[in-house]
Amino acid sequence: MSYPKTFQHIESKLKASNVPQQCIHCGTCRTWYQSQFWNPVCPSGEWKKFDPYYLSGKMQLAMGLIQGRIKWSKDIVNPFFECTLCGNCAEQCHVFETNGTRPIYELAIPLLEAIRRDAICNGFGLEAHKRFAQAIANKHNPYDEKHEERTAWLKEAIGDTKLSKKPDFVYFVGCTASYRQKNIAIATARVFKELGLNFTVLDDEYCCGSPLLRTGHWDLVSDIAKHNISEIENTGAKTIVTSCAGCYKVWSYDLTNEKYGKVLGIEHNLKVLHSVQLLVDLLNKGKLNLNSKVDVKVTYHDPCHIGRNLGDKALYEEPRKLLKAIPGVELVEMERNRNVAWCCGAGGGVKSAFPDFALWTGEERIKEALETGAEMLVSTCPFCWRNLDDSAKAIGAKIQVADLLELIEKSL
Amino acid sequence: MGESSYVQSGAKNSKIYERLAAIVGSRYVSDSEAVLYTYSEDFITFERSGKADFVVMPKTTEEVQDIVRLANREHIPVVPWVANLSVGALATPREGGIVLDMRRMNKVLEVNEEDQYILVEAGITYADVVGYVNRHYPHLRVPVTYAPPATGYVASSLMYGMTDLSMAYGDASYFVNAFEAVLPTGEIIRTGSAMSSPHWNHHAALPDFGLIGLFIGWAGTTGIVTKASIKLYPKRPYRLDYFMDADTVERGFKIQRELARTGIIDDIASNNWAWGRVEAGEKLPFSEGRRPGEPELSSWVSFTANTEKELEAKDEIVKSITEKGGGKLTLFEEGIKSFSKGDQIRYFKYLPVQLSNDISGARGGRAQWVGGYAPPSKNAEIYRAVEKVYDKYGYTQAGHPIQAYNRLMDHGHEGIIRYNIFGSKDDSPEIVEKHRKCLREIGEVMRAHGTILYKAPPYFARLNWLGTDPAAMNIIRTIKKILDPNRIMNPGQLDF
Repeated sequence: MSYPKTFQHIESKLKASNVPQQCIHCGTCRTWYQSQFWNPVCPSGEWKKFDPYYLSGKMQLAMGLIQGRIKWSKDIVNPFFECTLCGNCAEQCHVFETNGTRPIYELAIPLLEAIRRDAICNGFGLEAHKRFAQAIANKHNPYDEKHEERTAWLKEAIGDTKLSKKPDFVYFVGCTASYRQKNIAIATARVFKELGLNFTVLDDEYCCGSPLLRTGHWDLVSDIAKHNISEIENTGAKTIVTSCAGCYKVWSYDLTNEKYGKVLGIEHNLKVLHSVQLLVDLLNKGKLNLNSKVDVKVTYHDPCHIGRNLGDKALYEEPRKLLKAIPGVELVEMERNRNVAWCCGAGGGVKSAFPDFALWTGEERIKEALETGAEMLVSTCPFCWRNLDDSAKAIGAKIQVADLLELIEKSL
Repeated sequence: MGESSYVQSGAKNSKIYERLAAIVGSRYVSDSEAVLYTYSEDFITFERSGKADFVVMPKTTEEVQDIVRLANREHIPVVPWVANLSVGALATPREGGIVLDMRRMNKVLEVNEEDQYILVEAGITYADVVGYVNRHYPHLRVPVTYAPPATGYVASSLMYGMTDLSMAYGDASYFVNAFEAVLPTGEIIRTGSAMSSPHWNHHAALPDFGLIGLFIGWAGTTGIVTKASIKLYPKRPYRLDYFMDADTVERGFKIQRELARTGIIDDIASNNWAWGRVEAGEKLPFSEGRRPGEPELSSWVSFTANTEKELEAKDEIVKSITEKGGGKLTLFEEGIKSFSKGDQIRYFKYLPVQLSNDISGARGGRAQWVGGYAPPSKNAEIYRAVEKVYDKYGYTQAGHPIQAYNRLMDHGHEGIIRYNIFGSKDDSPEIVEKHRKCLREIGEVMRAHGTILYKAPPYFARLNWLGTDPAAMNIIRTIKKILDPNRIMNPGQLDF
């Protein structure tokens, strides 16, 4: 038995932990077993129903591929890609080692990403993903928008105010907030400006690489990451702050040596913060004064990329602390929150390749939010925002979708 | 009978596919390579893979009827499927055909608090049932197994599963009041009180006591159960859980029987020392044999009460019997402190949640057991005989000692005992064949001691038939022929 070349960055861990062998298809990955209500957790499985769409089925297929019992085909590819890679399945796995480590919990998502890469290397990929990979290659964003219009939102955000030439940090905006959810970029920049923070925005920011890493199109990641690192270093800043969960995961997690950094030849020493971390720090230091009342009942959606995907570095409490600090805001929790939050449905390349699946998953989340009686569903990820808003509109739900920074802006 | 357009195993058959799609909708029928692959092999045991031709997910009893009528007309095998977690490859499509994944039929149809039952569709899982009852009827207790949450609730009951109330009330089949099932010829049958009354509260409707037995233990070879009524119980507010350790299996099994006869216990289950280690996350092969002070048999004893006083009285009885028998009791919460950091036993309180470390614990993710209903008085004798088989095949010497699990049920009237071999998905064909041979010999030893093997793959089913009264076998074969004249239901299993 030999692992494909695309597994090289995780091969030693897989061998040491006997993954995927240890998966015995028990199906514990399908429901939140710590809950007395046993809620479903897997969007892919709940959507498609058939076995290969749950983690256990994917592990079975992975095992078949690794052992050479099956070969890549269009049929085999599908279950691996019709999945948001939200990781809620792995979160449930209770295969334990005697030292307390949880090998499938730790390795399932890296394995699924490596499998996707292997599919691409064998000539099997999805057209939608190829299209956005090409757009990133040509125009540095997956939306095929003009690169020169990337910072078009900035004027609305800060008017004619000049950005710092010697910034303390770079606001890494990300493609979705730059081109689609400009409301988030605008609110974030306004908050930073209002707080008197010394920041800048890159003139020549490229996609962070998240869509490429998730969909197996790794070839471009190294070049765009190196470009972004160089651009950031040219500003003199040692810190980047992002309002995007996807960008945050790439910068703080994927581009580290122990994840993809080494295998892709990327190295950086930048300090990476999500905007909620920066703001909580300011709140703790008494430098963020939220004075204006915002009377609204909200529930908070944990994005996978700053939630369970980060393991013990997940940002669960920071956004909640900020919400609770806004006068007038009443925070109510959905049943599935924090590490077991139901995915928004957009991630893993699903929004572009499987739009119906993305909407269905988002609708499930909207319904859960409605059950809390909340008037507003708040999150901290432009991509979650997009899909949750689309989903709310699709079912005519009376709930407003907002980014946390938009609420912060109102409260300043 | 017209000529069949079904070509068995391996060839795409668009005509059958289209007919199935017309019944359930194209979204819920698949002949995709990925789907067929995952439904064709067991993924846990050393049993050989099968080959599914279609996987279909019906939503209603009527859809099940239409599928079965089509299959019967075309002589296509039909394999009912929920989770494929029997650890006996009982839902492996051994002769091709249609795998009928029942999981879309997962509704709770009725909860009758007064008559204490829950009426469910047959694709419902333990997670579905437990979640539903906990959410809507938190004062009620639904019997659950140590199987994983994805396990089919009804399927487990049909296959003599074991529950956390089985000491008090018997194996899982005892919890079934009545069924609705689709026969292999497409007719619907109801059993128990549902046969001749609108109520689902009782297993008998005179004189049909045996009709329920047309489906229990038949491994899906007589029809497809579509609904089942399961007994519910009040959730008593007071509960105690103990580990009861014994230095020998002889002593341990004897104390189990004594405790069972008191009529106050909900559940007794046990692991021998080796399986206990695996559940705690230890890797095979073991570097050392039984450690000094390590109990040979460690039982889990659980009981509940309506009042604190009642609990105290029960506790006194349990302590007295255990002490007299030479066992040692440790409160569950105390006992788990001595388990390693990765142990799974801490998660028992989240029942149903067992299995993954049971098998992954060997670190190879592959295992198979031979189990069955043995006379409870013979448990220790069988254990010693099986121990010799492990020695004979060199498992003990190689750090893979005897792995045993038992559950005593129905006040000691019945009990399951299982012997397990752990392997790896990386095992060579020669090693796999060795595992198979050893398991077969264990099965033979168990049969020689009067055990009726349950959840038995074909070889082990044959061992059962070999020692079965010819008149009984004749009736069993006649029943099968009447119900399934074209032998479409899960062919290759039971193997009469």
